Amino acid sequence: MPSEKPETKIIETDVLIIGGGSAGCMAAIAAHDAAPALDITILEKANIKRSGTLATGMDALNVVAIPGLSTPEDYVKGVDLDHTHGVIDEDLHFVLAEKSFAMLKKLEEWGVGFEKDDTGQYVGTPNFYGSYPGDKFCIPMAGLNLKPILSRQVKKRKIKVINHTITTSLLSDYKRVYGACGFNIRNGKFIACLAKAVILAAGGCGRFGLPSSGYLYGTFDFPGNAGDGYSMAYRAGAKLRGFEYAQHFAEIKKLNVPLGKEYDMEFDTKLVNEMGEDVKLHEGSDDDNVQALLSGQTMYEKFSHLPEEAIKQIEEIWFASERKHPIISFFRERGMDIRKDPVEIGFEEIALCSGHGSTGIKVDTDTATTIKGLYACGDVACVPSQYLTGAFVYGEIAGLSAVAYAKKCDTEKIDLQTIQNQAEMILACTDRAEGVNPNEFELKLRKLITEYLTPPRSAEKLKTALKWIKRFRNEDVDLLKVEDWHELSKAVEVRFILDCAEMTARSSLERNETRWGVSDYRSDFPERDDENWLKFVDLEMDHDSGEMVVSTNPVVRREKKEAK
Amino acid sequence: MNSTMSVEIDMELCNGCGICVEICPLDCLRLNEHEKAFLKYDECWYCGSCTLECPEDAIILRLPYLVR
Repeated sequence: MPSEKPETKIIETDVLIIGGGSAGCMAAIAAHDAAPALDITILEKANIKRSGTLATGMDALNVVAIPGLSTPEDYVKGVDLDHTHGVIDEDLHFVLAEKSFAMLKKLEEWGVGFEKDDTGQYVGTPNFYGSYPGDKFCIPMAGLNLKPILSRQVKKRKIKVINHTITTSLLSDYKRVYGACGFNIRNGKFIACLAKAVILAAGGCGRFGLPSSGYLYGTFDFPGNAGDGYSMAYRAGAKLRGFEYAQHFAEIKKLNVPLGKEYDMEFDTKLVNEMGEDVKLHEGSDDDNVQALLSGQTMYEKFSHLPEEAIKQIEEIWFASERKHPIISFFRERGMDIRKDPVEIGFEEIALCSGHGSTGIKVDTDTATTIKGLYACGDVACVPSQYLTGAFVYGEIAGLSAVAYAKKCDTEKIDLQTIQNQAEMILACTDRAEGVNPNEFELKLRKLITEYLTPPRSAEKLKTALKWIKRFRNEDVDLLKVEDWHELSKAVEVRFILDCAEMTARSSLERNETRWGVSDYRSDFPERDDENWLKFVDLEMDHDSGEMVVSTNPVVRREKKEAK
Repeated sequence: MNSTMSVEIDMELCNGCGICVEICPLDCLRLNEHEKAFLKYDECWYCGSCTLECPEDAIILRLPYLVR
């Protein structure tokens, strides 16, 4: 790495989008189409052609209310029964479902295929595990090339894309967000982008707990997302919510890929524990899941009793999914055949995300955050269990909202000193003669998250976590040492993970109950407590002290509002 | 060739076009001094993007050692 400090290049745009994944690309496209004269810029850590959670696509659109097949009202009921359990902002889910079909049509126009039956009707399969009336929300999709399709749409519109650039912070005066800073992870060129409106679409935090393999990047969710957006929004002054909810799934052990829910429903597979006793898990209740987690027993999915026809169908589902590459490698390299070998199943690492989970930046149905000029969509925004549909629907809304805001205001004056200070803070770890490699730091931090923040939790464990987090901040961060620009991006990311760890510890400590089973289980408060806890736990930074402040806020029901 | 790596590049087939280096979602790949791709950072999610994009089918995806 050159010893000379690089200069920060300053650019200007009307709408800046951070993260060129599914939500970010959709936001850029919608913003451009609404206002072709505006300058739109995407900042992307990798290359938008194959970046983010959907690098190799997705095999279904999980939330689509097809007219005549299912309704937004049914979706709101289903998501509450299945996922949010009373702590819900119903407006967010209603808008998502209401706009889902138009989104499917848009994708279809762009060349994404959806399954239809002989009569030409879309094939709607259940999205939720319970059987809820009207649940035909999951539409199988030929979507393995979604990302190249999206990036083609971006390219067609000549939207500016800055690839291989990590965003390190938002420019904010705590009243308004007016841009962002970052650097190129290949050549170390620092950049500050002034914008009239900013859309955060930086994904969740896939690198949080440690997977059972011990491999830092062997996570369930895309490990390129390290809570970047959560941390940056928090430090810019935005409010966040749902950090006590951890995505916590049982998967194929070490491979950390789901077996797929289709076979649960269609085929008579068997899940047993070490004693050969039946275990309820995927299709079970929260209590069943908690029991399986607390038992600590190894579990095995058995297929050997199934007819060849069913085995072939199951393999077909796996080998066509977006995670087919690792699944194929796994069976080949282990020399396994489900016709005779059971597949070991275990709980894997916790992660933060709103696609499958409930964590994110607090947003309204326009994707507005609690700070002016900042919009959020996709896994980074708190729209629980929104899946890919949410990234697209709210990505589109974010594009429109940001354009409307950008049209009525100017760019702020840039504070050069702040930008320079930040760059120097980041670069400090390039100068150290001795120190800790970011991967080593990350292993230590994620081991902490695994031991003290992963359910079953208790107040004592959470307080211990906070002590360690403080120590990480006071001592470990100043030990980071990197050899190149790629590693420098990792040194930034581990600080994002550290912020997320504190957010989860503080939020969990606040919610003295267990509401979501293995996602928030508290050994010291194992029961659901509707009398006291039908409310959100939110976080924000106190600007004066820099401390993390926790508050609680009411749920939002549609009926109540309509009745007023 | 390092047998613990999750991305194996066939050095005969690799034409050094750099497409895999450009599109790897985790920025793991680089070209070596002979203009051949290699896994520089052991941070692969085995997503398969590189194998899908390689015009020469020069990439074999394996599981990382710890997952194998």
